[in-house]
Amino acid sequence: MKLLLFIITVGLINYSHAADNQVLLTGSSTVAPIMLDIATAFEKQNPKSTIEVQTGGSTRGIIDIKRDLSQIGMISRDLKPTESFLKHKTIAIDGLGIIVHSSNPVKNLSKQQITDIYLGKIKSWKQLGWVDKPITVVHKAEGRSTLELFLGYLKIKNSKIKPNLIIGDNEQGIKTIIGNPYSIGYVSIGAANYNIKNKTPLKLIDLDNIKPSRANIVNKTYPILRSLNLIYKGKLTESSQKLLAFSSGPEALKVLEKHYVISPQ
Amino acid sequence: MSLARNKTEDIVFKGMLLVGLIFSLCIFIVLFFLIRSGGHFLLTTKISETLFFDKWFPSEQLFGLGPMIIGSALVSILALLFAGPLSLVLAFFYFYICPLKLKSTLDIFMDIFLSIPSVVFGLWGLVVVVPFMAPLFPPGQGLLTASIVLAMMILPIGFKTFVATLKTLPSEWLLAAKSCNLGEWSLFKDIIFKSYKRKFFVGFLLQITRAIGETMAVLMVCGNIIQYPDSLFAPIRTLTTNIALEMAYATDLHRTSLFFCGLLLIAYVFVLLLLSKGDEYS
Amino acid sequence: MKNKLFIAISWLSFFVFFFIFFAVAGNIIFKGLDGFNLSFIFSEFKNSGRDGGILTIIVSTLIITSFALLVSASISLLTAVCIDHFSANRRLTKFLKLSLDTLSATPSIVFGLIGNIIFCEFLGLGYSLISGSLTLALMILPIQTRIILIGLESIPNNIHLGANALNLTPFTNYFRIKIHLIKNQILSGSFIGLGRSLAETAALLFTSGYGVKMPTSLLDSGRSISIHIYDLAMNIPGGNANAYKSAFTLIALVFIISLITSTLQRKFKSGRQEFIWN
Repeated sequence: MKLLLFIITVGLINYSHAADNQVLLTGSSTVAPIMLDIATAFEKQNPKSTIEVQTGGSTRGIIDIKRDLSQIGMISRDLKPTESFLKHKTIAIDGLGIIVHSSNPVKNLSKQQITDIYLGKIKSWKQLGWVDKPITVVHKAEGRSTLELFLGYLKIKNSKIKPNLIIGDNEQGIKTIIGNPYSIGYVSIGAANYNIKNKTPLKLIDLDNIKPSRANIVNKTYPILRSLNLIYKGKLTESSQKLLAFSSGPEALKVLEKHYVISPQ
Repeated sequence: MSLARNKTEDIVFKGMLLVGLIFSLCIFIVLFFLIRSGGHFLLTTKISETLFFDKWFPSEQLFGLGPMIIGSALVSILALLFAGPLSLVLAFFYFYICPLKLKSTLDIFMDIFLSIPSVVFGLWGLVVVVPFMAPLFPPGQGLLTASIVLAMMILPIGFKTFVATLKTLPSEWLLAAKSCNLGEWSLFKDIIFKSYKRKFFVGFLLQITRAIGETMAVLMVCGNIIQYPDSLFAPIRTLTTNIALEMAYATDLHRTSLFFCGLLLIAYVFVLLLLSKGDEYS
Repeated sequence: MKNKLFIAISWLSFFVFFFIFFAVAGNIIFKGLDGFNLSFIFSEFKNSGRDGGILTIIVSTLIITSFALLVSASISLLTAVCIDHFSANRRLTKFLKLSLDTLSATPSIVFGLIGNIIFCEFLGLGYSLISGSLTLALMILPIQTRIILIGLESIPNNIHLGANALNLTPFTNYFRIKIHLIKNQILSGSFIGLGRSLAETAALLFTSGYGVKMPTSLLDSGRSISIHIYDLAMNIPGGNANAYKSAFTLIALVFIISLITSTLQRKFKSGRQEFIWN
């Protein structure tokens, strides 16, 4: 009896092919929430289209495009030279901010100080003008583009870093910093700002006396910047083309503002 | 209903047997695919550079699994130390001391506890336990915190197993014990524990197996640092959290090494299984 | 007196459990109830999940879970029958049981890996509800099989003898007679499988995907509630509130199911009068 039901159910699976008005985007977990909102707005204007957004990391974005598993990939970094056969479109500029707990009085750190903290040479907040408590260094797990960006800026190898805690995704890092007043970490400025505006006890620090403000990102004075890109290869379906165009349109700009990232214009 | 031997029925039954056979041997299918994707990890690296090595930096081709093997073992042993005796005493309580009215409440609460997803336990650990531990024992995430959260997760399984075991206790024994005027302590120590030691051991091993396999909850509270822990509060990484953390971003040899972690995990539980029920299988 | 001390410890363990339970569940209920209304369950997903409801996710979860249970219940029945049929051959039975037990002890993330390789890549099903539910079915299969086996093994001897005496075919023996005797086990196995499926995250992480649309076919990608909670809490800035609301919904759901189960169990209880200690 149960077997019969099973067979019937299996038979009821309808095979949906990637139709022309379906677009699948996979990749960076930083870009995904932004594209999700853009996709929703796009679908309102183009009711026949179905956009699907999945995370999985920038690496997955690249792999899926290479293997033709998706139509558009999302990455939170620039394309590497080995990936130059892929085309890209920058939809936003984001920065990497250093975050501490809001009770931490330190307002600014130099690049050398941050390097020393992460190399384990500066161990106590006393050396930075605060209480004599050990610094809890929060670092990202391997493979994430945020990590690569940070290491690229500091110009050190991952094996030399002496972290106290390693986290996976942005929000895990933020929750870790909130839970420990003597911690320090780095995260996307957009994510940090979103949380700060929602009254979480978080604080962004100036880097070499440059504030991680919107103005400094727009005029590119802030040192750690990255572009959020949509990548694709070859010929695109009509829906994909429309979506790409839409992601720099006025509706998309509103979404970018809501996520506290800057548009590339 | 015909009682004569029916050819179609026989064939259908033989087909069903085949299906049943295939699925009871499912573990071999699992092993096949794991070995296919992770087997040649051991061929490409030397054992001294992986199993007992303590540096894990895939981008620099360093794959030291030692700290994670130890991490998995330690965190599950600690979790068992917390949850095992508690679940056993709780099961005994449920059966012999708990007033009838409270029994159904305890049942329902255990069921709910059992079905809380591991992410929720992890989230709870991250926003409640870690901020509590951090100022006292920096950095707050580590072996002890992970063990505590894990212990909470394996508690209901232990409870259910021990309750099921205690259910099989013959009523006559209870009647005899009561008529000899034995107290609860004596009942537990001299009668139940003595005869069911083996079954309780199995229950403990079930719990530790579950603890080794837990990923999401541990991911959020263990610190994820690859090192041999030097204290109860040191951050650690387990084999499971390593897979969850790096799988999405791993390519080539890195990916192979993660599948190898999966193989190690199955080896772990297999050894534990043989330890607990060895006699049942020989 | 040792006895009094032991009773005190037992009661203490009870209170410790209750304390833990309310620490965790209380935290969820407290934060989840904040701003919660029934429309949360029935409204659509909005704003990456920060606003709006979880209707599509509940539907996805239900589809994944029920399909997994369907597949697993059928196959575990066959597997249990198979093992019981060969119960005369001691060595084979022990070997099969060992294989099954190893499968049941396997960590859930390994199932996620395997599910990804077998269903998503090898069978080409991609990230979909069906990949997720088949992976889950594989996970809960050994537990259900074990429980049904226990039921089959506890069938009184005279049934076996009677079936043999009447020269019944194995098919008739199992599927027309014995199946009625093990209904209780099939049901309880299914409920344990249900609980396990609802709580599972790691296995679905790499198999059923992150889709948030209302699924129209089993090949669509969809996320279960636990994955949604994970995404909201770890990935989406500002997703905390809804993560708690979703967790609360899940707990409430399990509470209702658990109430139904215990009521049903009381109906199926054996009439044998058992001796109660006090």
